[in-house]
Formats: sequence, C-alpha cells, structure tokens
Amino acid sequence: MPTKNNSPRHRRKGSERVKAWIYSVLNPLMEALRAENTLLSRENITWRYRTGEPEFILLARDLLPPSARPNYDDLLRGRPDLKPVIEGRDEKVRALLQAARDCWQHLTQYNLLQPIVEQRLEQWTKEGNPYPGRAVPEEEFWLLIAEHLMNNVEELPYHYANRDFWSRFQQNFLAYRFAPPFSQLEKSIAELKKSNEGLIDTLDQARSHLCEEYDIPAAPI
Amino acid sequence: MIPRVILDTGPLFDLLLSRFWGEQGRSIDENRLACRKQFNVSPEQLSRFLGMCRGIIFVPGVFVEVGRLARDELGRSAGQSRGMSLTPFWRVVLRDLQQMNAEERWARFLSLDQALIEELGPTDAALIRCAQETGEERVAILTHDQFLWGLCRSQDVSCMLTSQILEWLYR
Repeated sequence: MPTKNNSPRHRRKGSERVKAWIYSVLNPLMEALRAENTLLSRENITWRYRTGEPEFILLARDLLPPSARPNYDDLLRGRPDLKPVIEGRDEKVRALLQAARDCWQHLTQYNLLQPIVEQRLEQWTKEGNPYPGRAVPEEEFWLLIAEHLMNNVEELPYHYANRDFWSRFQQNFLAYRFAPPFSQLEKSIAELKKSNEGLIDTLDQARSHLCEEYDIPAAPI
Repeated sequence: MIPRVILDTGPLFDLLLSRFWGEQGRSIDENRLACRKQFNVSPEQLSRFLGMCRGIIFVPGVFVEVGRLARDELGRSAGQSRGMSLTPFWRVVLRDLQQMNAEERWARFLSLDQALIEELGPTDAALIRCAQETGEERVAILTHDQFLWGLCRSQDVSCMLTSQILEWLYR
C-alpha cells in the first residue's frame, strides 16, 4: 500500500526519468570509472595488439551498454552542468590513447622489441620447452609480449601457457618502459586517474541531489 | 604435471567470469561463482590447477552453455536480461582460450549415445564420449555436476569433481 507522500499521485513529475538517469547511467558509470581506476593504478591500459587500442579504457558514453546511451544523452540535456566535467575526463582519455599509440609505434616501428623476443623464444624452445604462445601464431608472439609490456603486466594467470615465459624474461621486456614515450603514457595515466576521481565525486553529488529532490532511492529496491 | 583434463561448463564458466571481471578491473565476487559456493574452491585455485594440466580439452557444447550462463549472470548484474551485448565477454574468452593449453574435440550429435542424451543432454553426452575416446590415457572430466560425476563413476568413465582439484594442488 503506497503511503500518502510516496504514492504516484504525489511523486514529483519527472521522477521516472531521473530514475533512468541514476540506475542506468550514474550508477554504472561510477562503477565503471572505479574499475578503470583499479586498472590505471596498475598502469594496465588494457591494450590489445590485434585492435591497436585499449579494450576497457573508453570514453564515458562507451563505458555504458548501448541500451543505456539514450538515457546518458538525456542526462546531459537535463543536467548540462555535468557536461564539462565529463568532457574534461574524456579529453584525458583521448590524451592517453595518443600516448599509448606513440608507445606502441615506438615498440613496433623501429624493430626494437621483436628481435629480443625472438631470441628469448629461441632460447626457451632450445631448452626443450613447448611454444608458449599456444593458439597465438608464432609470427604474432612478439606482439603478444609487446601487449603485456604496454599493460605493465606483472604476473599472468596461472592457466596461461606463456606465464612461465613471461615470468622468466619480463625484466628484459619491461625495461622498454624506460623509453621516453612511456613517461608521457605514465603522465597521461595519472591525469586520467585523477580526472576519474573528480568525476566520480561530481556524479556522486549529482546522484545525492537527485535522490533528495525526487525522493527516490540511490539504487533500485 | 597433471594429465590432460576435459573441462565441463561449470568450472569453465567460473574461470571465464572471474577473468572477465578481473580484466575490467572489477572486484571478483566469488560468492557468485559455483566453484566457491559449492566446493569452496577459488577461481585462482582453478586457474592454478589448469595451469598444471598437460592439456585442457573442450567440446563445443560447453561454449553454448557458457554463453547462456553469461547472458543470465551479466544481464542480472546489469539489471537487464535481454538485448545485452556479450561482445566484451567473448573477447576476454577468446583471448584466454588462445593463451591456454586448449584442445578442441568434436563429436557428431547423431553418433552420441541416445540414452545419455536423454538423461544428461548433448553436452554431457559429448563430454563422456570425449573421455571414452582418450582410451588408456583415461582423461578425466572436471565438473561441478555431482549427478554427472556419479554417472561417470558407475560407467567407469574418469571424472573428478571440482573439490578434488585441491588434492592435486596440495598433495
């Protein structure tokens, strides 16, 4: 039985629209930004050699499932004050993407890393170990190692066939992160992380304000 | 080194779901994983066990079942069961499988044992066929499914429950 003040008749106009903002945009976006910061704190940019871009470091709109994006667009129309802070954060993402592309180009264009990986692979197989790339074609194996390097991987999952290879030679490969383009990448990572923290605070305040104003819970009950 | 193993849907899904969350930087809610709830086995222990296996064999049916479970689980956590894209999930799955000691085995549906299909469904029937075809090597099926485990034991098919991986890890 609805109470007098909570009945649909008394609920403020627009509360369904605001619920859509909170449940399908603000909450998932804050969760995604926190997850992104977990990755960034490990300097893991989720770079993928096959696509030449990060998999999970994305513009704010792309962090949401497609079905929620109309609500995201509507939120920015209804709360235009949120737009500059989101755009500011997206600028940091673009800067990180550019810095990452420069690092990738540095690693792949000048034939720096490939011979080292191939030497280590030869050493590895001569010692009687199986090919560590498994389903990754042998000519792409050095790119997989470059991907681990881009993502500052410390330890691979136990069930990965290249875990032992990576553990053994990672110091040789991670030394490439001392190259100048990686300083810019580290700077971009730190800036995006800070920007994400600021955006999480802003979105959190916006959510509290909307919950208060429309008398709706912060999460569905 | 542990012999090869044939992976059933349950342990495979737990491993892939935890990898999916981890790859995104999200915390892994182990209480949502059957390996933890049913057997008190962590996804890390599962990963360690599989890393020690000489090979991991899959039958195609497990991927169909993994897709269904992923839609339910990820749809539930996103508050939507329909129209949800599983693209990011499958990307993580493919990357993981490419880097595992994975082998694929296929059995024609019409060649499977009819009684087993009727009792267990085509995926489990294919797992049993796959285990039988490994002959003297007697590659075991790794499963969460106690019914499948019991049936395998009664038919002298090598099978282990997920809890049994702890014996291998800590022996």
